Amino acid sequence: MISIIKGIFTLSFLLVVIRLSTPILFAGMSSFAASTTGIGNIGVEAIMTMSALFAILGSYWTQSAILGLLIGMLVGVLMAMMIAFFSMRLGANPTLVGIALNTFADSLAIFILYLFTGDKGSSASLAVKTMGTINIPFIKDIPILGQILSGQHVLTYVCWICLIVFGILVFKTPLGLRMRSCGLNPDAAKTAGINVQRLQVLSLVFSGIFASLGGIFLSLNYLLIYSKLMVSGMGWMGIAANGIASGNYFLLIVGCLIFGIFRAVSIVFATTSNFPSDLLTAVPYVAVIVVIVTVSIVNYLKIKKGNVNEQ
Amino acid sequence: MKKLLTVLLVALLTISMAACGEKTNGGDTDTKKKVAVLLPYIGDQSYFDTLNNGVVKANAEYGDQVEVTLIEADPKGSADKATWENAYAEVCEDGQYDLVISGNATYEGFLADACAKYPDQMFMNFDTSWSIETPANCYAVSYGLDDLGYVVGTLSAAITKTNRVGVVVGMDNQAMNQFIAGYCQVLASKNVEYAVVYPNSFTDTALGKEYTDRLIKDNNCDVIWQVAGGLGNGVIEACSNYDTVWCVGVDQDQYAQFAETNPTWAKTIITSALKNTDQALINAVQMVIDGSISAKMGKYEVLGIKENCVGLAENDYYLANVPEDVRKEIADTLSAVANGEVEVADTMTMTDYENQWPTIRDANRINK
Repeated sequence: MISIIKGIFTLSFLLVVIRLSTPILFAGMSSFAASTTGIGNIGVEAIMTMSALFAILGSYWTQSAILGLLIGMLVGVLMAMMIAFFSMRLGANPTLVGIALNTFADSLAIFILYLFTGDKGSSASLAVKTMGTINIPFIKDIPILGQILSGQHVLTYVCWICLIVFGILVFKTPLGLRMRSCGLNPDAAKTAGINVQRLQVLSLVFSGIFASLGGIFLSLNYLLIYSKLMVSGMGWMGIAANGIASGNYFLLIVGCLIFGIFRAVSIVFATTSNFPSDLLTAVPYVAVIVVIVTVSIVNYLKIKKGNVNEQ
Repeated sequence: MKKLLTVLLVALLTISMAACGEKTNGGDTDTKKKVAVLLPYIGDQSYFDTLNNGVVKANAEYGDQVEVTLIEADPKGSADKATWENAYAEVCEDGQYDLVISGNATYEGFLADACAKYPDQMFMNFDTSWSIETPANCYAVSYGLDDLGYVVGTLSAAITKTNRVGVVVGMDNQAMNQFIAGYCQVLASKNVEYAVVYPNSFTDTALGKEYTDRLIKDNNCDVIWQVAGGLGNGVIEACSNYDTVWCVGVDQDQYAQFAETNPTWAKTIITSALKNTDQALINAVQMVIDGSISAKMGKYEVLGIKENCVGLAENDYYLANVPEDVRKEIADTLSAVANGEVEVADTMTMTDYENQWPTIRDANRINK
């Protein structure tokens, strides 16, 4: 037990959390961006899968990591646009479109992989240019802090910049206010002269970009290979975190980090103790249920208190 | 227009009939032995492709005496009953093949059905994990993975500098633990400490990387063996970030797999624990040629080092990086295990798995 606690309070544990949280944060932002204007995107997992694959393929075709990144993002946006097209133009339920995307993406990705590589397991037969890590001069020499702030993967920095910029966009600008008003009450927003559909499409573009970055981080930046089913539920974790947050940006970040932390905790448990692995796999999900229950109890108490005050 | 269409249809019918007739004529003159290999698909660059290599090799080597035909029965890998029933019907109904090879954990149920349906046809299950008694018209083989683990353990013990090694196993179950029982046994006997971790997934590559990173950084392991499918790619990636850490691959020669496309990864893979299903297929084809295959019907065999069906990938990189005395030790271990001089622990044959296995696994384990 002592060795587990020792394992958790270390610098390397924090670094693991940062790495494991990055794709989940991207997924959480993706889900958040879509739900801001009232269109739920539950195809995050699917977009991450396809973008992860196409980033690798794009990098192989062009022999440039940047172009691979752009191709992966393009595919992500295209998939988000499918949700927009089917739900807004053709009147389908966005949740159903999301389910459809998730259902076909895993198999389609394997098919496409086979088409271009003749391989169904991974992109091992492709020599690709990948993205690396960034060492920030001066900062990297600071003890401890230097190791946290410097030497992370490129897209991890992009992730945190996106978090800040997108937070400002949604909560501090007129555009963000309009986007949120679409989510709260589309009819009222329409009456106020806001082009609701345009903003919904815009938020889906953001959603597609964030989800694709999550997938690209996994394949092109972090694991340097596309391996079958590699997203393994991280998209769903982001969606769950957004569900917990229900519009609260700070809670969203906390939720994503909780997933990352508990994934890291399960690793520490597994490498230092003989804790049953099946239980460990459940740890992040149990953590989320605990958080959801806590948040709803807090909210319930708040509302109850409010009612008492009103009376 | 209608007339033209009719004429065309009639022409098509005539031609197709003619084509059918020709085919039957051709079949009669053939006196070669025939073997059919029924796989769901090929092109996965691992498991099924290994077997396909066996088909290619058998045809190249014994092409004058035997004709081995590969049939991709289930390209989508959907494993539905109707697809496989049809495939078996096509192959078995006219009894033209001397042996029909198929099987493996996912598809062997259909093979068992076919064995019952076509009692006069000889079958072979190339990678058995069924718990049923082997049908009277089937030859079932599996692989001595316990011996394989023993050899990997010996190698790990010989090349570790920190006296600590680790293994990442996809799932914690009896079949997967067969890989590592001998591994744990030999490491404990040599007093080398080892970590055994189960990420509980074969696909979550990110977990594979972080588990391995942890094993290297915190547990100080410097030889990591991966037995975890796609998740193993993460293990290799993690090992490749450390100059002093070796990774051991699994199933196929993973050094060769990455040598051209990803030299950084290849550089870290000292060897791979091979499961040569292709060799089992070639052995069976040989038995078809000399007729001894009929004696194997109804039998279940474990193919091991002796049959060249499991072993280490002794490629140039292995030869260049493993010192000669270690290579000799490995060769000695291989022959000792093959001759039955060492009793290797095997989870699949344990009488009391629930109690016996943890004792072996935790003997000298770091993370117990």
